[in-house]
Amino acid sequence: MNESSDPRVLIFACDWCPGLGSDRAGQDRLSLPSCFRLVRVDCAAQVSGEWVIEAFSGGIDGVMVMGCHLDACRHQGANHRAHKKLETLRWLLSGLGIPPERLCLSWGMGREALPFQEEVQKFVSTLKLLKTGKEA
Amino acid sequence: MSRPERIGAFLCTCGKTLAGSLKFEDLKNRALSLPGVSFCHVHNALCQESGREFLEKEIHSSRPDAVVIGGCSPRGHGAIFKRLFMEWGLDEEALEVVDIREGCAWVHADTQDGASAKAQGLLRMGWAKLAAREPTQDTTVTLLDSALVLGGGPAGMSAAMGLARQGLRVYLVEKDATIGGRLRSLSSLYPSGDEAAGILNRLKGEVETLPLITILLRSEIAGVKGYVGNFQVQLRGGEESKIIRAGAIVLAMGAQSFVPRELFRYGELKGVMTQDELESGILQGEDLGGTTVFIQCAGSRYPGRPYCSSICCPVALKNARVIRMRRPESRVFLLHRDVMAPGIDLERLYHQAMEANVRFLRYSPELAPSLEGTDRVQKVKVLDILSGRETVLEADRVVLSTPLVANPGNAKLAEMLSILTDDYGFFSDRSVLEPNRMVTPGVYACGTSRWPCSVHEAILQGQSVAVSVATLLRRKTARASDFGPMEGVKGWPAVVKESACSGCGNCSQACPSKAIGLQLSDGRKIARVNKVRCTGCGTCAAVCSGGAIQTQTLSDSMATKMIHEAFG
Repeated sequence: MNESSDPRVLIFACDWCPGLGSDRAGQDRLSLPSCFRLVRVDCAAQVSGEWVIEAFSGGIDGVMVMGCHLDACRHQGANHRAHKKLETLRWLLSGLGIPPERLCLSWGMGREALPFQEEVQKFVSTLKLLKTGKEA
Repeated sequence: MSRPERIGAFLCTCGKTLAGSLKFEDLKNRALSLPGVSFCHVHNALCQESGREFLEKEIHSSRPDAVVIGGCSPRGHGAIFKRLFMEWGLDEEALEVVDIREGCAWVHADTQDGASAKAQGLLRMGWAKLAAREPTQDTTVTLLDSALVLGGGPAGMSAAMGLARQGLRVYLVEKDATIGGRLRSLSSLYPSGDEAAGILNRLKGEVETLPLITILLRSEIAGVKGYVGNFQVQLRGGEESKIIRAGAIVLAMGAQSFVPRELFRYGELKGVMTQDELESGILQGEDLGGTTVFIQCAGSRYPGRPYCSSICCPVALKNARVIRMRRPESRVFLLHRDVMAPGIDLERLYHQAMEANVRFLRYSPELAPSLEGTDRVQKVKVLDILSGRETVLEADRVVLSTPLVANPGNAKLAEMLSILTDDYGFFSDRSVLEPNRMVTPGVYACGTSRWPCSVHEAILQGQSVAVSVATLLRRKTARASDFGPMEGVKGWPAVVKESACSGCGNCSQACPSKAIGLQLSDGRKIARVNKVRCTGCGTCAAVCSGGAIQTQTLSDSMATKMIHEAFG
């Protein structure tokens, strides 16, 4: 990981809930660190484990997958399956020597502006702590 | 579409709101440096009339084969831009709207450098998504101009009538020996007070004479194959078992009345009856003199069945008033937990019942009324929680208002059609905008198969379903991608990379739409997607261990390219 600058964060956000939260955060003019990039997906189930690995190997410090509340998936519970898959991936990451904290899964927190902001800020702080060993 | 060679870029400053927080000149230069980008224009309001005219002019003169727009969130004007692009002869999937406002300038107002760097990253990602796009896979479906309506009650008859009047062939499937459903056993209808027989005769008369309606009696669904526009429904019973081909399926099988076994000594004491039994009594002109006690919420609004069945209060109010009108010397008590009579008509009904001297006593479920008598009910003991007094009512009959409960057959049908039921077994919808449509495209539900409702509401829902179905089927053809998880949401079918597919069947088992099967190809099993059934949800992608099945909206190559450009 790059020691000097802010962490590089990639967020895959389901367009139903977290996509709305991102929009609302903007409409409420909440302040967020500019070090994240958000990719809108139709459902968290689309996010492939290979994309996460690809991101890490490309120099991205943290990947966050934001989906809807686990029992409120617009795709008949597809996010339950995504959750299982990505939790397994987190477990595998530690075996590869990658701190599993670098992959953050967030379900149902992203629909409103403030929780969206909180989730992103919390993850960025976690990554900063991982990088420097110090609280941000 | 194939891979774009001429990509156009438009940046919107949103009036002056973004001009101060993003460096547009740098952003434009960065866009122009991207491979394949042939032009980039900055405009101050692409969403306004002037902006749309500008877009149209530029697109017609430069003829790009893909366009990236940097501006507000795609949730803002994305759908409008897509529609305009289609009007201008471009592929709507060749448009990528990049959010540099809500998700960028507005949340990073404290750092112009940070926001500008991020906007460049987002723009590159939008470009990458377009540049890596594979030709989309879709297919055309023919929509049959026929519908199968299951259930010949008020909702089903109303749907069938509405469909036939719009020129569609209708197969009305009824399990009984005659149509009419619950209307056959009702005396009068709330809130109008109309006689049920009159309404039944008018509906039935029209349904039986419309030439486009075929009524199939004593029949049930045994199995369903196919998909929206082309279902093949296997029927059981009737004169012969046959297969009906229909473009859409309408579920209108109604609900059942809960039978209150072991509640309020029903079945043990004479004179204790359900609301349904009282309805037949009224219909047959039985003597209803003496004292009648209605007990509301008999079998509903307790932890095991917490919902309010919504029709029982109005029906009890209506019948209580009917008894008081017919027999002026009669006494009528209505024991309730809360009188559920919302809206203009039902509140009026409540007042009319009060004016007719129906007496209301409120009980608490913890101290429910108890019945006394040896062979016949004689007394009802109730604690009126408003006065705090225990009252003993001499009773000639006790009427239990029991809830409507879902047909036990709903679960099997839901499984057959890949649709959802709620916690209580009623068919449940997902969409606010298209509440009649079930989650499987082409399947609709109306009336009490969805939720307890009045005959009036059931008829209204039937008419509304008829409009939805006709709007769909009158198109005659559609694209597979038109059918997403809900109305107005695209459902690009999943794509299988055959070389990577191990034929394990995980996707086939997990698919909620039953859209994936395994087929032999060169001696090995390969996943095959039914493009129409597939709503593009991505469940298959989540369970594939080999990455062999993906959704089209964000393929591996698109995502990979975007990841590389994010901070590039």
